[in-house]
Amino acid sequence: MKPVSLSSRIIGTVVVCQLVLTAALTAASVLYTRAELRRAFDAALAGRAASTLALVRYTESIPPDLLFDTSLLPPSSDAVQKDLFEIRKANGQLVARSEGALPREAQTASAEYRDFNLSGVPYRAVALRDVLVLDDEDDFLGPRLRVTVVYASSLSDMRRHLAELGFYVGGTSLLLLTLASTVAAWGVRRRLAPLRELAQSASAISASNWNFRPPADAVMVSELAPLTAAIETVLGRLHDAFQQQRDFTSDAAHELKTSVAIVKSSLQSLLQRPRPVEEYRAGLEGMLEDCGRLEDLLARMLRLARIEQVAENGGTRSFGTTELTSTCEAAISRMQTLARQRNVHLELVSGATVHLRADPEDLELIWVNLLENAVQYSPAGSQVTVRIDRDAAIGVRVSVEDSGPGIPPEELPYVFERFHRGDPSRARSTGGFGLGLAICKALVTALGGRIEAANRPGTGTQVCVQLPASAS
Amino acid sequence: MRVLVVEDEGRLAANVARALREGAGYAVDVAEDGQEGFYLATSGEYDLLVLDLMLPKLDGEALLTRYRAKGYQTPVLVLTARDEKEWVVRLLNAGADDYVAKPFDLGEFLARAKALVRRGKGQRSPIIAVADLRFDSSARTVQRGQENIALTPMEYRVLEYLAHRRSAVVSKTELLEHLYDYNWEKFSNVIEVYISGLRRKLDDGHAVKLIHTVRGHGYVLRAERET
Repeated sequence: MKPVSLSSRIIGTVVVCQLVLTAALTAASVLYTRAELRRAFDAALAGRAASTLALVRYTESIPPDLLFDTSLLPPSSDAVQKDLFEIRKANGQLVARSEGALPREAQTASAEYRDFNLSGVPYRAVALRDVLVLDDEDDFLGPRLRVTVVYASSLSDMRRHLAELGFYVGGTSLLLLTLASTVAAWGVRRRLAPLRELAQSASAISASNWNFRPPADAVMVSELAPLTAAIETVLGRLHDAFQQQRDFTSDAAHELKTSVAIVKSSLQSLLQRPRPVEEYRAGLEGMLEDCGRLEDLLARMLRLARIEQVAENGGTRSFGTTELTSTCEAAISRMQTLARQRNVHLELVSGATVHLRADPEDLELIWVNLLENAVQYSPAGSQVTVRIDRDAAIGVRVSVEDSGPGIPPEELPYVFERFHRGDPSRARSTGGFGLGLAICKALVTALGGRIEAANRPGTGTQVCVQLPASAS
Repeated sequence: MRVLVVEDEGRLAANVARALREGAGYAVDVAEDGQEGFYLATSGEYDLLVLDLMLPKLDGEALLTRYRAKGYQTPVLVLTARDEKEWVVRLLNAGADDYVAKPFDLGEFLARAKALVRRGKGQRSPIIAVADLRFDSSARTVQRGQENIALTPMEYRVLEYLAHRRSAVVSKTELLEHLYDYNWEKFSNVIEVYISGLRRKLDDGHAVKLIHTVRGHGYVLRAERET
């Protein structure tokens, strides 16, 4: 689609509004003037008719007749379109008339005023019917004679005046409109400058420069405030995500480099000088363990990346139904060796059989990771309990409880973050990378559930997993 | 020479310590977290600190800053997994003398460690000559004239320390503090044995004597015709 210019639209709207206004004003002024001119025209017409009538005189004959004195005829109101008139007696006999004849339609007009066309020229006529002819001498006692006067003048002069008025008013308005539009266009462009400045400062943002400072002009524009706020919010979120990704990369690099450093330094220190066979053997065995750890780290990182990728793509994996208790049992049997080494007792308390839409391997991995953590932090001779409860509102709740030292309250919010280790030295000595709980969280989230860690009253930690259960 | 390694990764600490002991003949103490590291660094006499950055309890950068703020001059070699320019600049500005990025080469690490120890003692060259004695700390050989002299590891350590502080009187306590890691204090009475061993191997049959006892103060390595 073609991009739309906001300023063009605003200017366009202004121009259209002004155009409508101009047209309305011009029409109104022309109409008003026309009405006024007509009133004046009619008055003048009536006056002319009356003064024409005044030219009718009595003759001295018996019976007295009427005489029209053409010498006193007033000049025509229009030099080109001559005025027309007719004076008739009551019996219809013509007393006088203008050079040009009035058309019949004008004569028979019943109304006082009447418009008509004479060979394309507009005329307006007034009729003074059965008017008494008065003599100059007041003492005249003769019979009273009545005449009818029809007088018509051309309207074209008035029409021309009106047209000229329309032309001048409209023309002036259009001129002013052009001027106003130009000023409006300039003003709109100028007022939209903060938008361009905002765009400029927004486009200056990059991965290496997160510093967004909205231009002062943009801050002062109330229409831009939501946009500025939105940019700031989005940037904040992006920056956080970017920072998280960067932290992850940095943490992952640190772990990998340290693991490689161990293997490399082990090899080099073994080669530092000739050694007895037993030392070589011990060194190689140590390195095999180091490699195992490196392998484990890689496997966990890849697993985490894959789960998160699937979750980001909308969790397109489809699951069959899995029985929950059996996955817990499988996890417990997998952790049994480590638990026995550390003299920790594992117990499963299951009140119900629950079916879930989930991959059994995923579920087992969650329990294995949680149990591994719990066992590692448990004192010898203590117990780790896995509890399964049905919950009508949530689905199912699985909790893993240990009697370890618990998690310092300030660290509780971060325990599920990648590479988080409460106490790195202890976590390292137990072989952790701080990825187990992050994997659990990613898996649980992918299954649409929630995971929470809390300290139990007294001593120990409880990690609680809530999963939506399918109807069983 | 005595080195403190502050590294929480046990396997790496062991490898680094072994390299320093076997490759340079240094006494090595290991601290597993930042707090222990800071305590040891400020309570013992060290000629070099090897410091990891990601440490529990007190991270390496904070340890370094606090250590330098207290006025300690011991050279510090940092082990870091991060080698971005800004990070390195930040470390050096915090008072580190040098760094190696993980995964580092043990040989390079050792060379840098030795160089830092030398520089800490105001000594640039790995070869120290006193009269016709040639002490080579990189090849770990000792020559008097044209003659190669075979020393026991402990004799070598004593001579190395005296050579790096040549012409200065070194007390027995100072020698003890710089030659042994903290488990070895019980051996304090054997310094005289190593000194007499060195005298026998270096000075016997030479007119110019190198090892001298300053009664009541300690020992000194310098060329001096004994009367």
